[in-house]
Amino acid sequence: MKDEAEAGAAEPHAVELTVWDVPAAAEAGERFAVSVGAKCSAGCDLAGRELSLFDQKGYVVGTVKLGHDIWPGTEALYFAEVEARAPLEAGSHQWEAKIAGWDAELPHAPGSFPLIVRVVTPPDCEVTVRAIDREKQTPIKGARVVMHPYRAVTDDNGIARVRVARGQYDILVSGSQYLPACASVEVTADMITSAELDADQPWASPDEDPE
Amino acid sequence: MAKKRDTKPEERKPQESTSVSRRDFIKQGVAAGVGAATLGACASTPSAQGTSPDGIKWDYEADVVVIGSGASGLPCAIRARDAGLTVLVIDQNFDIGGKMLHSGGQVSFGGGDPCQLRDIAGQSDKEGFIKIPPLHKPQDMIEDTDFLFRDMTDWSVLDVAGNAPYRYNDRELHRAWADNCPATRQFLMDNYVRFTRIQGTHGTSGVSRARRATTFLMLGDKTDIKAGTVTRQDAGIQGKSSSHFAPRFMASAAKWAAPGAVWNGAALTRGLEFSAREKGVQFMLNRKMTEIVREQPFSGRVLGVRARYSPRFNPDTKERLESLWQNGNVDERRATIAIRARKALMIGSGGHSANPQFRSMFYPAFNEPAFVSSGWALLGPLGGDASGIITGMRIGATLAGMQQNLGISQSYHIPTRLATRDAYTDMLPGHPTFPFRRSTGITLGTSSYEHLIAVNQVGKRFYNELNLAKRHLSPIWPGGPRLGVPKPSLQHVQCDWRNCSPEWVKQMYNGYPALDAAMAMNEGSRPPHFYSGPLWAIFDRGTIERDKWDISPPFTADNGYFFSADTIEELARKIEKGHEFQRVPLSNLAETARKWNSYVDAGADPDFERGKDAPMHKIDKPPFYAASICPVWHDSYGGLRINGNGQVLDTQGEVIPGLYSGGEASGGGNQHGLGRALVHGYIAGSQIARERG
Repeated sequence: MKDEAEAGAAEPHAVELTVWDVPAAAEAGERFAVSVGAKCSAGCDLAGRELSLFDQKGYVVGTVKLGHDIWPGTEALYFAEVEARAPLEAGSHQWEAKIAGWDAELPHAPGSFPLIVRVVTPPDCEVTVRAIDREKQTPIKGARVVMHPYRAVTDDNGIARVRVARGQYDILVSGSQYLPACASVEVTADMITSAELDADQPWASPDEDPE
Repeated sequence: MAKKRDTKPEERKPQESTSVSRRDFIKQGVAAGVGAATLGACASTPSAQGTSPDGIKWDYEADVVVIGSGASGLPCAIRARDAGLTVLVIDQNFDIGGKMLHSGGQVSFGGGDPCQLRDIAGQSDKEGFIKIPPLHKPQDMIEDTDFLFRDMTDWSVLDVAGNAPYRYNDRELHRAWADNCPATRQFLMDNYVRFTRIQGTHGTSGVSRARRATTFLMLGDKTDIKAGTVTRQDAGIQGKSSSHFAPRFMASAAKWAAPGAVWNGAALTRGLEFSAREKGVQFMLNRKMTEIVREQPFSGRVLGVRARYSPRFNPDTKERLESLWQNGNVDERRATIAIRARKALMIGSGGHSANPQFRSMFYPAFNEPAFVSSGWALLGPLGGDASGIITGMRIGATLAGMQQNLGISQSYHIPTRLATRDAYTDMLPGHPTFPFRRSTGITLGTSSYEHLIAVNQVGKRFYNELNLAKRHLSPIWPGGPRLGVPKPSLQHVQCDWRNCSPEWVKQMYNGYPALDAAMAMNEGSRPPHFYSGPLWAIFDRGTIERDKWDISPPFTADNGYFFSADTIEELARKIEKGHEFQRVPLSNLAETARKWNSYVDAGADPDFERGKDAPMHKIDKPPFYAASICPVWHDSYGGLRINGNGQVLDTQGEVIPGLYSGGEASGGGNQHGLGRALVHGYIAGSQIARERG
């Protein structure tokens, strides 16, 4: 204990942050939530520690206290969900998650993590994308549809509905174990389109050329 | 946890007797020789332990000594035995087969070989296993050996990366190869090897005709090579286990043969091995050839070899690994012995893909010892180590075809398998060598690279990940523009300048130098070696959820080739601490991940132009993972120079009396795989038989 205290006095524990589930396209002025996690380099219990989100101008836009649970699959990542309101101006906004350091008990250094909040004007069109297995002509569930910055995932019927603003887009569609497909579209109103995907084939070894 | 060896000593599957002592070797050699001799003079009895007139104290002697029990050594041994010669095969490994055992068992011959003729006639195999009709039209298989020879030496054919796979094939070698293809196919079938329907053609085995058949067995209640059956347990259980019989899962061959048929190189290897043992070929395993003994250092006849004991032990139990079958084994454990080859010595010990020092002479980037040859676990560190080539050079043999290592995609490449050093195969627990690798690896399709970023040893990206595992396919039948050949199938014109005109090349070029980028020097490459260092696939929980990767054991293990961490920074630290070849910190990893995520936000990747063909995904959801990306040098091209009879040549182009070689130990051909090695073994054995007088 004494050695640890002396070591702690000499070297504060580092606290590393990470942020995920940031929306790909947050509507201007709308509330959204992100997940934040923090881990002490020595695995200390961080439950109850306060974490804040700062916007591009340095103002606090959200605050949360870390929960008692560890994020599944990690060793000691304490996490919480913090809410904030998207800026009114469309575009990319550089925010930062921060946790202040503290000296009580074992000293811990402050930590920070940058994140980008992409703000869009409210979408006014809906693009329905149907992902289909080209050979079997069956729907593909769970396919990713990206019309940057908008994203969606197909449902059990292979259908994804992406709300976008009018404009020119590349539609990228990919499914698990499928080769991706891409097409360019001009969205001026609600529309329906489909993407036929070819199955990918893992090569067990080069001896087994698919040819 | 990996399983221990799957059989206890008392459970091993003896065909006849157990391993023999030196005294028994004499008795059995005589009995087998009388029973199995089919050609020429009576077999002379091998003698053990004596001093020959050359003054060397030999511990063993046989008419023919074969180094290596793989795709060239085993056929050579059987051919020589068929001629009534005593044959001793020594192998550095604990089991038979070399890389043939873990291969796909896909064999491209041609020239009107028996499988082509069978399919042209619409017939089944002699045992009636094949139930499906031929897969190709007769005109796609009709050819002769002249046609095959022209195809295999066609100077005009290029692949889509601009390489010429047939231009530099040695003419004498490939004339002999083509002429012996039909006979070799028949020979294999006469020695318990079953072939499926002809289906396509192997890489570098020609553009003009379908020539490939795959070796198979039928699932049955027991493993019986004579009956052509294998149990499900021995064939492996998909996603769960391999076996001592087959180090890789034997998949269904229903589409090529019949329901219940299973395929890969185990069907080929175990069939040949069974036949060899049945005919009385003797095997001395755990024995590494270290020196070729010649009458004079650089002249005279080859007399024999010296070889050292090279056992392998299970890293967990410390028990010595044992071969699947033991009849005909000579269990010699002395440190070093001398073995006399009265008639011939055949080097079938494999190539140089596992020797960083040797292989880097031809591709300097591959001096990196982190990256191994295929079969690293199966064969151990002595497999493919160039020793057969080097010992040949020491007694005056010359080399051929070393430049043919370059540009062949089947040779070195980035496998689509992460998290294992032995990335060439998907071996599961159950084979005795699984404890050396401890993980099967995560097998992906190329599309799955959408979900990761790949970094070098300092944590920087180096290539468009979507193209990382792409490799240009070889121009093979049926050809066509997608494979770099202007006209497909029967329309293809051999040796035509239009196949390689600049206009055509510009039109069809589609090469991906991903491996070169992966093995490029970086900030962590230090003199004198400038190693490029390990490569890492970085991904997160989001990847697992989206693309349904299975990262549970046995696909990954705590073996230094897979890491999980709470943060990216921690991941970098774990890799540096836990990976044996991570010589420098991944100091850029966190910044690389941050930059990547910003590119995803922006919808564009200015570094490597991702985002145009497939969605990009952030790496941001913990836990974070790192899985090794291990380039593999699969088979090597270039080695001892041989003539059309399999005889090794010296620097003057003269035959070294008594010395033969084939397969990867030899050079002069760009043909990938079993088709080359098997015929070489057949040729060498046939020539030895002819010269026995």
